Amino acid sequence: MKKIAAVMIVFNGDHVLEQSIRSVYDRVDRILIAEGPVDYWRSRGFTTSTDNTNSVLEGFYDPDNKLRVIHSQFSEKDDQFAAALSILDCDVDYVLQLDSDEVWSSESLSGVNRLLDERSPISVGVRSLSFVGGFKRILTGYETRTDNFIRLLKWEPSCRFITHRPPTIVYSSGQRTRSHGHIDSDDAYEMYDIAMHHYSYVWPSQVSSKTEYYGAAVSRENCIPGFFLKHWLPWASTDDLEKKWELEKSIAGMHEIVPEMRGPAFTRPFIGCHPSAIQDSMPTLDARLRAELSSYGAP
Amino acid sequence: MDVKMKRVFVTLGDKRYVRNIGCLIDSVRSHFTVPYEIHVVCLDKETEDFISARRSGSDVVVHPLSELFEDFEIRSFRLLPPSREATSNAQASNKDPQHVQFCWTLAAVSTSWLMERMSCDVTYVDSDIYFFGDIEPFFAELGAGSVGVVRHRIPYLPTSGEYNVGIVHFKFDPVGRAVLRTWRDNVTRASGPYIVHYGVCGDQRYLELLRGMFPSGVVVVDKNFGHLAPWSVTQHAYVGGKILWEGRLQDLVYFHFAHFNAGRSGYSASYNNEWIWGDPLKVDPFVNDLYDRYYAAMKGIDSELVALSRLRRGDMT
Repeated sequence: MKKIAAVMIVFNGDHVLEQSIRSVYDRVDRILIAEGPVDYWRSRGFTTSTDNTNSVLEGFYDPDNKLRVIHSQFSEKDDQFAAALSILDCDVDYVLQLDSDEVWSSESLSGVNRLLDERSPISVGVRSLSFVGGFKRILTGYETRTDNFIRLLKWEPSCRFITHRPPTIVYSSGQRTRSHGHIDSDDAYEMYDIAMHHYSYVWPSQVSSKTEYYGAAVSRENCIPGFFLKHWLPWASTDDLEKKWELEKSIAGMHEIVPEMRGPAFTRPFIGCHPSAIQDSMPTLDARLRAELSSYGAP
Repeated sequence: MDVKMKRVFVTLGDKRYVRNIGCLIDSVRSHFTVPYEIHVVCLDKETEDFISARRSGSDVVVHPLSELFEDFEIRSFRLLPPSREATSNAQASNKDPQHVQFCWTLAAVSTSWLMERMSCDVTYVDSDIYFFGDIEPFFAELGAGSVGVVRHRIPYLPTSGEYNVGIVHFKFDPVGRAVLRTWRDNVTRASGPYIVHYGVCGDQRYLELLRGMFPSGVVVVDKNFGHLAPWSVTQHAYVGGKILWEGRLQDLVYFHFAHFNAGRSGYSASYNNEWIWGDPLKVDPFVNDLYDRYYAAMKGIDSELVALSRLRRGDMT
């Protein structure tokens, strides 16, 4: 079986952090985590996570001693990702980029095993089941387009990490991520049933923080002004499908990037099961969602 | 029974096609020898009510359009700008161009929607198809292929393409899923690399594209599987209750009764390109008999519709 190191960057990302790490723990050989703020959050006075991120990392049950965590402050996310990679202390064949809101099912990890064994790809795109405003609806369109998320990258001791947006590695041969031998997210999904459960737009605290950061520090001109308060929060606060539809119709979906840039990104019902790591803690996760929505005045 | 042990079909229609759907279900019930499910996507309440009331059973599953519309991406396809072809088609038939454009997405979208939910092979069947035999020869000829398509069985016309959307089968395997995704993506885009060449005839021109993109996975089922449509009647010969196609005698499995118009005292079989391919009712008594049988089946459904309507009104006389 191919050896894998999961690499995560995190700052105030406690929502499903424990579930995310737990979902891959048995499969991977190392979990490398760089925790801390990037410049945008440092300029707002943060020096480390202020939610439960650090206590989750400190308390995580790690019987096989796979976790390696570095706490620091970073100029940007590329710098943070490189810091996580710098603490890799064993030989691995692949790097799995694991965001703190991404959770893997055992079925998808089985697909990963088969794919890596059969194809030895240079990189793999992964279909994202991106949840919005709860655990029942996921994004379509833009969010599921081919290779919107590259998650598995071949690793060699001499390779060079370039950027995590999109994840890119250059090898000694001159090859790079997504060159010959790449498996795109559609093939990975249709041939190996590989998809990740991505709890990316579920909680108000998560969405407001994410959209604030992207709007201010990454792509201001491409973000919908007031997305969180004007669009996402009313959407998440109602169970009325017709109201949700009207909100989506006005911005061709439920995603913070302007429709002219991304195309449609409507939601649809989620079919299937959540990964066991999520199922086990669903009452707690749902209670947090209700409490946060309630704090914003949602019924 | 596990659905993976069954043949799963999907069809769709509104009240203008409710009689066709009823006939299709009856013909399947009469001829199919392998366990099956027919999933009917009902585009209006009248169709949902009739199929639910008069054709319910463990073999028929009714899906109101509202069920598909819980998927907002599908709902958004109603907002697609009508293409030039949809506009022209709508003008000719006095329909809403945007609705025509939406309808052209539905074969691919409904099939994809069902496959996603059931994780099994799915066969799309047009509602105006009527079976005169068992469909199993289709699957026997498909063999290891992932997608099965049928030909129009007429000389090639760029406006209609080579393959007919009447029956299209998709296996739930990597190629079948990829082909279905590609078909759905192309008929639901307002723009894209293939629109200019393949967008000219709604959904079925894309079957040509798919065969080109996945040549080993998409199989043309044509050798041992007999079928007719108004446009292909004149292209066949008729021998002893069988049809002769490209030198092969075939049992007739289905007739695609497109444009069939049943009135109170008779029917019309005229269709768009009749001036090119000829009048199907002036070819062979075998064909006329097929039309007569379909008309009789439709009349039976007319009676059911009247009875149902009376029942709803409380008129028991």
